[in-house]
Amino acid sequence: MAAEDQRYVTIQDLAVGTRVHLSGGRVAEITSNPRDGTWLYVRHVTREGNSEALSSEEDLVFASDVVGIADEGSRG
Amino acid sequence: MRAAVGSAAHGKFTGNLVDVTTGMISREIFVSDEIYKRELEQVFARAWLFIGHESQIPNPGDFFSSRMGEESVLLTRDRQGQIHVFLNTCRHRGMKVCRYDQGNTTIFTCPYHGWGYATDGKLVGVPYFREAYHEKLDRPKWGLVEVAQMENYKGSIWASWDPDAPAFSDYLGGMRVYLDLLLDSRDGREGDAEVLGGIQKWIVPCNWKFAAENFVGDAYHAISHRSVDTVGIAPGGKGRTDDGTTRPKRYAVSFPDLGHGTNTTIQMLENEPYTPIYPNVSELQDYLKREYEERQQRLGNMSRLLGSASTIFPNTSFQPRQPRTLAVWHPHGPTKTEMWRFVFVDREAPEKLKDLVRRYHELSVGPVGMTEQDDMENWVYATSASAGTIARRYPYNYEMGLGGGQPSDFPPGLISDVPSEKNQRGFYGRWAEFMDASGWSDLYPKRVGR
Repeated sequence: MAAEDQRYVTIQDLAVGTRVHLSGGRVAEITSNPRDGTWLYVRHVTREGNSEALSSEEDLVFASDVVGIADEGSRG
Repeated sequence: MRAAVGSAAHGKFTGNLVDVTTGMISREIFVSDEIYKRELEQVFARAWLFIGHESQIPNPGDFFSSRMGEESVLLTRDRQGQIHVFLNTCRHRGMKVCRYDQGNTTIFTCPYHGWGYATDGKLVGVPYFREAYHEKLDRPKWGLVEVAQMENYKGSIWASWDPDAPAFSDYLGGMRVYLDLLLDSRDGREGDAEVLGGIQKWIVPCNWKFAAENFVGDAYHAISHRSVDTVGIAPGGKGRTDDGTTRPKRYAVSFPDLGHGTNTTIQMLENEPYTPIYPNVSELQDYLKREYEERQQRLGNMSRLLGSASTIFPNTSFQPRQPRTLAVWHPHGPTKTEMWRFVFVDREAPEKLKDLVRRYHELSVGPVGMTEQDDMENWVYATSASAGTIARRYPYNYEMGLGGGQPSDFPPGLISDVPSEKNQRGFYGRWAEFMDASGWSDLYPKRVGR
């Protein structure tokens, strides 16, 4: 996603299951959205070879760390 | 009696502001800013205060915004189902982390810089934690400030900021049986009440103590409510209550060593047959009669104890009968009080009864309640009259029933025939002790009686 598009990610509207690009090149899946426009609960997506997994630990991601939407998710 | 604020008369801060032996109380304690500021520290930062009821936060993530003294606190149920009470202020710059009255959340996010706290109070989100704090901020150290003590008593939640305060059961003492009348089911089962609907909140230009003393035992201001009695606001259209009480006897019951008090009503006979409660609502009679009889079976002689207006020191009052409510008198200043009213019903009561109770409550108490409007008018004018340059030179008189009162097993407590102002003297005597004490070691355990 181009830098100028970053500000258009309205995180309070993102559904559980949506995957987002984070700063630093990480990808994470939303597990809970408090809809405060500030934080998202996520599990980080890890890749090993062709397989993909979600981290066992939940993490809290700050709004400015979300740089784009990876996909809308099946539960959205 | 000229007020002696901070003059250390008799070696105490309260000096001759409160003299329970003669029944003289200075008007100064209702209007002085200096006294008020001291109250916040000496009374409200030490005492057990009512926070809310667990029925308001049934699910993980539920919260209810309450108050302790002037300060906002959050009653929460965390993800594990544990109940907490936190100061509602961000540890970073102090902004309220929650500005809603109640709701459900996974995180309290400060709207100022975005610090986020879980419902168990832990600081879980710090913006730029990696980039700017370099992961060195000691997050466990900067969680929400939690009360020193919390108690869930039959669903009612109480808290104190003082780790040295005695256990809530000791703080409550003999007043417990009267609080039970509010919290237990009408059929005598323990703790089966719930808060019905939202909380009425409104601000009144009066000192908080006028409301507290009104409920602690003022049994002879009925003249104020003559218009309400005449109009007949009870559901049956007569008087103020439809509670079916027959042959009642009233007592002022005081716990002067703790500051609590109540005017209670007892039935003279243990096996008094059912007299219809809300008699004009015929479809509720089977339910109400069955409740009444089960109560007699479960409680025996104690079923005769019916209760009435009561105050738990310092600022929680309740009426366990009709309408069944709890009030908290939150101080905002020496001459400003935020009043809260909670309505209680049996959890398993029919919806028809809950609806009746709600409407009756709205008609009787709260900002538009006809009975409470009478009271508020008295408290407002008493407060403004206390502030007069000349008027404040003259103390108030609390002599009624001076020296009276005798220990009693039933109703339990130090009882006096009504009317009496023994309860009010007990309340202000305890207030003075709090104002003078250096800590809980001066306040509890203490001598009994006054």
